[in-house]
Amino acid sequence: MKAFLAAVAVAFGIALAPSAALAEAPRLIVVATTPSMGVIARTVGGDRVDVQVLVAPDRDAHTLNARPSMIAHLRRADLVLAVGAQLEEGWLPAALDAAANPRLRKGQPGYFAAAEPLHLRPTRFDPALGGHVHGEGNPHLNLSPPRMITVAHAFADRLAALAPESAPAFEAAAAAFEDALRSRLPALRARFGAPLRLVAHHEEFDYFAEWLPVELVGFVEEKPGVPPGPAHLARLIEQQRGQVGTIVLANYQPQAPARRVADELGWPLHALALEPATADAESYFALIEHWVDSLAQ
Amino acid sequence: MHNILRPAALAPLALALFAAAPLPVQAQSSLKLGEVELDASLTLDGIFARRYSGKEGTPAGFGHAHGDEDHGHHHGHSHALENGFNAGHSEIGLRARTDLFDGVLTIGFDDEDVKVEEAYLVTRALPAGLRVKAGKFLSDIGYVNSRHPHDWSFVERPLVNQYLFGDHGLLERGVQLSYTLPTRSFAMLGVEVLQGNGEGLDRYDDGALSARKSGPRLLTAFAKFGPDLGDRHALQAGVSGGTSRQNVRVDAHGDHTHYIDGDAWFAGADLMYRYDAGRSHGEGNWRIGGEYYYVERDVGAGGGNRARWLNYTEKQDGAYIEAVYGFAPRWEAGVRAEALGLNNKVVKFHPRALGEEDSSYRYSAQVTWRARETVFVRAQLTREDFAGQRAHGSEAAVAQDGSWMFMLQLNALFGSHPAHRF
Repeated sequence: MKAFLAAVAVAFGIALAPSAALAEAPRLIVVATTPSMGVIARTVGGDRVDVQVLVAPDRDAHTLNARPSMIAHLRRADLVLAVGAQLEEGWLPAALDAAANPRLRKGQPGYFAAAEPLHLRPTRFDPALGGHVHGEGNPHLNLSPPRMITVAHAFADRLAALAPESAPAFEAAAAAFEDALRSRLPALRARFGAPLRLVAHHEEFDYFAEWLPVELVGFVEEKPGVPPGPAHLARLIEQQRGQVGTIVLANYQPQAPARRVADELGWPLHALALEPATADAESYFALIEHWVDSLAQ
Repeated sequence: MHNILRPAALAPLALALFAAAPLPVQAQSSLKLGEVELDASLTLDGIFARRYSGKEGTPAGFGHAHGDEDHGHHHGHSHALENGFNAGHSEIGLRARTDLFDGVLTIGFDDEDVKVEEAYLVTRALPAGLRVKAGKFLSDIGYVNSRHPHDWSFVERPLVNQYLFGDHGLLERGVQLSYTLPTRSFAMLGVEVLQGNGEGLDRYDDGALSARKSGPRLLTAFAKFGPDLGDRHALQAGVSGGTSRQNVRVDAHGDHTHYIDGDAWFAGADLMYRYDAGRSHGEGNWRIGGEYYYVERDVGAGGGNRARWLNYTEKQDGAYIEAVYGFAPRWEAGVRAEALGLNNKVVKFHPRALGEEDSSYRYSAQVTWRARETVFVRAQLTREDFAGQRAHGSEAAVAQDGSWMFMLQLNALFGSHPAHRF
């Protein structure tokens, strides 16, 4: 019996030896919900991670439907990087349940919600009005480069907990991301003349006020996630008539009501991409350039 | 045809209701009780129905399904819609989440009955893609069976699900083990050991003389597969099957009663495809799906006259196919075609032979307006073409007139609701 066990042990040893050699730097499988979170994962994790992004850049992560392939990705993941603050509440919990991957349970190192290390900007809508109110704050933190920097550092700490041997590399990558991003911001701000008055379709653009000389003066939506009624639009137009400003919305949002306000006021309208085209730092830098290009015309 | 409230009058009524009372829809925020996250929701459902021709009937060969009072099987309430206002299917749902497992309670109610529909625990912390569910739950076979009525694309449960598994689908006490494979494509396997107290292939009618076999009496298995087709397309295909140790049917004939006793098995396949156009509020999206089930029952006569009966193998099946398209933001339209009893060989009482019944069909078309993410109004037109039962000893089926039905459904969900599955 002992000889048999020894033989089995040797056989396993031989079988595992090559993979053990490869496993010197096992790549962590990271599933990021949005492309912005994919930027964080890939930038900070570098070649120590394989990154899979669940939501396409032109989709609203809030209203997405769960797909079976999401479950497959989550099943094999070592870590899930979500925005949190209920952005993915409509589909991620169901996909996580079906994936039955205990590494990704809330409270485990494998579950990382970007919103947690941040104080989010509070929702700008009055909860008493109804609509789709985010009780935990405005989850669209990727519209704020300073908050993306905070998330990158927090994620580096989390990766370090899962792969301590690479902790310095993660921290260095987060610091490099911070430097690259911060060095771009002054030039971007400088391209605005007078502070820009913005009317946004939805409240995600509230984050622009943190790092750009813009002021949010109104919303096309009266209640978040609910199509605005004509009375609200008329009121908004009346309030802003005769003033200068710009209308913004996300490229996946319905344009008709914002278009009406823009036409009435004679303001320019910009339907902006809110997510980088691919999950890497260069795409994110290109995205914030795109925002400033559009707004600072 | 002297209705006080015609459907045409009701639609503006519903619209006025929404215009007057905007419903606050809170984001899906859970209540925190210590370490426990609690989701609580209330779903209210109401249906206005109007049958324009024919009358409510039962598809030939499925007359032994409960609710058919000719056969003496008394269920607490009938699920048939009556002309005018109907209570629909309302629910109170609670889900408590902890680190190790979730507890789920669903209480279904209408204006007459309150019933615990689901009450189960499901694990969260088992390793390697394993999950165990224990309690009373909707079986995960197929596609529609585990979905609650407010998730359906049409007002009514598909015929095949209703007549092969019961008015509540396959809803049983038991244990489920499922395993999600660590593969690039989604793949999940599951087995369920169930008590077998249902109304379908595990039925046991009151009045049978043979002893009830001890439980668990029903064993099911399912497999689901979903390849990665990119951001716009999603597909899930499934197969399922199961066996029931006992199937007992009673037929009361006034002064005497017949019954047959046997066992049963089923097999089925299901497919659901979704197209996500990426526009707001579901515009341009498609859902196309269907299911097929086949059931065989090996039955013989129970009771004293057993010697004069042979054993028979009953064969029945059913299928549906449906397509729903988002033709505008918040608006969708769908069509569904259903067939029941394409194979329809059943034992008839008195004639000691297997009879062959005709197939029944149903066609539905619906338009749904989702006023909010969690509130919808649905108008549905349904054509029922149910085959009539053949009379004793006769080859001619008793004709059932086809029926046209109009239904207007109002469904609202309040509170925090678990995320939707595919």
